[in-house]
Amino acid sequence: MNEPILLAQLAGRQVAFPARQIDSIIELGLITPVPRSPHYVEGLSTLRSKSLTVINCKSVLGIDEEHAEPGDIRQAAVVKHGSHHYALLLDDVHDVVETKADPQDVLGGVGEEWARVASGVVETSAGPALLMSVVPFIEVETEFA
Amino acid sequence: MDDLLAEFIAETHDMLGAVQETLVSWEANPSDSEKLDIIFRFVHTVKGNCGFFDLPRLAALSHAAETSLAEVRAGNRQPDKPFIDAILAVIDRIDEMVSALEAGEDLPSGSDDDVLAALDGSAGSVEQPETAQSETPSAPEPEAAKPTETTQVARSIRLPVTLLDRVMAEISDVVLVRNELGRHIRKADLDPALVSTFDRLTGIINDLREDVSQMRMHRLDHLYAPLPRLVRDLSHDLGKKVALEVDGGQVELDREIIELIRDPIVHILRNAIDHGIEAPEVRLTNQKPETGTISINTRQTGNHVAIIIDDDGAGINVDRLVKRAKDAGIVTDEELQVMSGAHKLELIFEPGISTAAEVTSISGRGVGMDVARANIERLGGTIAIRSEEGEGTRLIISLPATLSIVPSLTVQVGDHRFGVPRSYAEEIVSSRSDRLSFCDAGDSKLVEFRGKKLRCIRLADVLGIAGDDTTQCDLLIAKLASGDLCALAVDKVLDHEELVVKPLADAIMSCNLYTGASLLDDGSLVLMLHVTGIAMQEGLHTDVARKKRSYVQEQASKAADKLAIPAVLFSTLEGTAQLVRMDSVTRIAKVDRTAFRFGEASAQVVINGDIVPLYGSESAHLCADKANVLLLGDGKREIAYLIDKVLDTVRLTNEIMPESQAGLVEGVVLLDGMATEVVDCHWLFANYGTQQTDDTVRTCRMDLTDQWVRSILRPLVESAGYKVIDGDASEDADLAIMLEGGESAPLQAAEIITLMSAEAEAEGGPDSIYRYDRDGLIAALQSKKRASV
Repeated sequence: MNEPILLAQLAGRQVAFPARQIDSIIELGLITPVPRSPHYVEGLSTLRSKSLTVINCKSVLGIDEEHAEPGDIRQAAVVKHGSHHYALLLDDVHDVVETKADPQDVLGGVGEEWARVASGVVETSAGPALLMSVVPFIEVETEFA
Repeated sequence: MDDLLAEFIAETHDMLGAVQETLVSWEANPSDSEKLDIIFRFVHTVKGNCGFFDLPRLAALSHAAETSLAEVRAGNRQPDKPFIDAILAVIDRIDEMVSALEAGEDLPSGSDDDVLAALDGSAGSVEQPETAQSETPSAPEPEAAKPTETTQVARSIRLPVTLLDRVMAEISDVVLVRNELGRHIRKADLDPALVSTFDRLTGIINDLREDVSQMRMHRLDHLYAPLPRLVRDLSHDLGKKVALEVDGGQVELDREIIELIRDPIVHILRNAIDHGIEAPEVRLTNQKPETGTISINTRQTGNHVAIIIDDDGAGINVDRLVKRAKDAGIVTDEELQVMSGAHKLELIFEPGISTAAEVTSISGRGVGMDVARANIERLGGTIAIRSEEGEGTRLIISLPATLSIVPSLTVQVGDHRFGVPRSYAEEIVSSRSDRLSFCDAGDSKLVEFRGKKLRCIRLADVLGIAGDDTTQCDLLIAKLASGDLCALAVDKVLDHEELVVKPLADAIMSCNLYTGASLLDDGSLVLMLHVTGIAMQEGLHTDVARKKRSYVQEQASKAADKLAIPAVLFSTLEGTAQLVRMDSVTRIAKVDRTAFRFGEASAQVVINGDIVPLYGSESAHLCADKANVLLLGDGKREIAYLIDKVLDTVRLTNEIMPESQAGLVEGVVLLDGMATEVVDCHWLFANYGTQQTDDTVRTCRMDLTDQWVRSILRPLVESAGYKVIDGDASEDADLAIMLEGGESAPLQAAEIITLMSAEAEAEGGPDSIYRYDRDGLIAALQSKKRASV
């Protein structure tokens, strides 16, 4: 299987997303906060006339980070789910590569939080990466509830 | 000619829609000449237009109606019930014919004698649409058969809805791109010619946007206009009295949606009239106003339009509903065990359910609510029901508005900006500039607005963000869908904008605070607030409770009066808190210290030129330049109560525990956990009000040119409670006092007392008294007063 995957950096680890699920990569400047929204929703931003719900992937994974300064440029992967567009905040975005093999399970697991979003480790030319699914990042509430 | 006819039909249809509503309100108030004029103008216009076409029946009908209405206008005829019914029948007939013309059919033949006779008042029965209809299919009479070229009347084209949707989405994007371009242009220092070209483009885009939105949107008025007539006819048939209140007709909704919700709404109204509203006798025995009320409220929130239909009828009997559902095999006992009350109510939307005791021609066959729900859900809307037995039923229909350019207010709270649909905003007041009084009721804040205490919601608290103190805020008085008002405190109301609202992701929607987001011209995003959701989270949606409250006001039942006594809470000069009933307080005044007089036995204060007895000064020494007094009145007299200050106005709901000893304190009542004294106004007036002349309306005429009368008699008469008027004053006097042997002309009055200068001359009766017989004179004055009171 040769799936194109997007290599990115998340919480200091190398991760991968199926490239077909990603619409585009953007740099987010202004994020409008949404008071009283779930903690993992960073806020709203716009891509042309579309509004984007910005999701902080680290918060989804239960990793608290020091708050970013407003106006910082942050990289995000835009995905469409349902009728809405979401921006998944990532530390860094590297490249789109092809997988060499099917994802392998990790013996002993990858940790409870990661297991919910990951579907195994894939080998790439840039080394191994944890393959992520997009949907668990968006449908957080329903899975926890 | 065809174009002319098409225009005539379209115009008549438009007018028919408008006139239906007018008719019903005219019927409710036949003396309303403005409404009469509108109806008159309608038939007059129809008559005039008929002249151009060969439409003899229409012309005859409108002519007859015009003549009769002219008589009413001239006051020669009373608009009684048969007359109004006859006018309605004529207008229905006109409607029928115009509809037939529009469909390209020949004019239905037949005679209009029935309705015309009713109009003349010579026929007993009115309105027989059956006969008219049965005649319709019969062979057309030769003169009624108009040339068939009239079939092509509509001048419109049909477009697929999806195409319109695409055009609208594109326009929305064009607007956003225009805004972005505008920002760049403002930043860059560009050629003025370019700027003006851009401005022109902006204007065109605005027009375009408006037109495109018109392509699909329709005011809900088009849906609501025929409803008053429907309700009137239906309630009339069923012998019930129903008033329909419609609000929010200016809200626009997708044309297609309007067409599709017409039937469900009509169905719900039928249900409400047939099963909801009770018969007038039943309503009266249930302590409800004889006339039932159905209200339709419309609100636009972001991408949704909510139509709320309330009736104050009998509500839904849940037990009966459950039984029906069980009998029909829709639910099982096990399912019922875990069902909440609200869920049980939702059973009404199941097919084959009706709670009507018997099936009537109007409703009760159990088809309808399920169809209504299916129609609404197909549109992507929802319908919910709340009902309280004996109090009424509320149906909440929520529909998508498809294109959502929502007229909105933008508000600032802390660093955030939000949008509020303008349809909610009743008024905006600033607590900085206007003198608003706030008070805390437990954890809730209340603000006094136009004499009403409104719940004040600080948006910053609701949203958990920083914001200004309530007293430094702008208050947005919002009218909730239930009709209740509440105040939303925001840091600042910024602007009014037309916002293109885009839906939000489920994760954000689920917190029930926002309905969507919108891009402002400056490129920043604002969240649209979900006012209903916020009010609900603050516990403001009491649903049916609103009606209970209005009953209390309407009927002023004794029980309710006993329950809540409005009272003023104040602190005395000694610092104790006391209550006095609001009804006894005529006003609260700040009085200069020089206006007080502290005598040995009594004290007075001068207020607006009157000397008023003063209570509460015993232990007092006024230190400040001004003091607060509470003016208490019993309808005639006033007593001033010297107090420290007014603390609050409250409603006493607890029982007053009476004090055993008569005195200033009538009893004590529990207020916020404290036993608080209630002032006994009766005791106050009995003990302190006596000095005031108590019946100044009694007048006594005397010759004030006489020095003895002026200086000696007058004070005595005045202290007995008479108002003294001069001998030649034009007022009528109840009594006159004359001096025996006086030079002046006899005084005019109802009764006369003559004062004798010598004791021996006095006859001893009440009419003739020695001038220094003080006791005798006072007794006479008192007896005259009593006799005539």
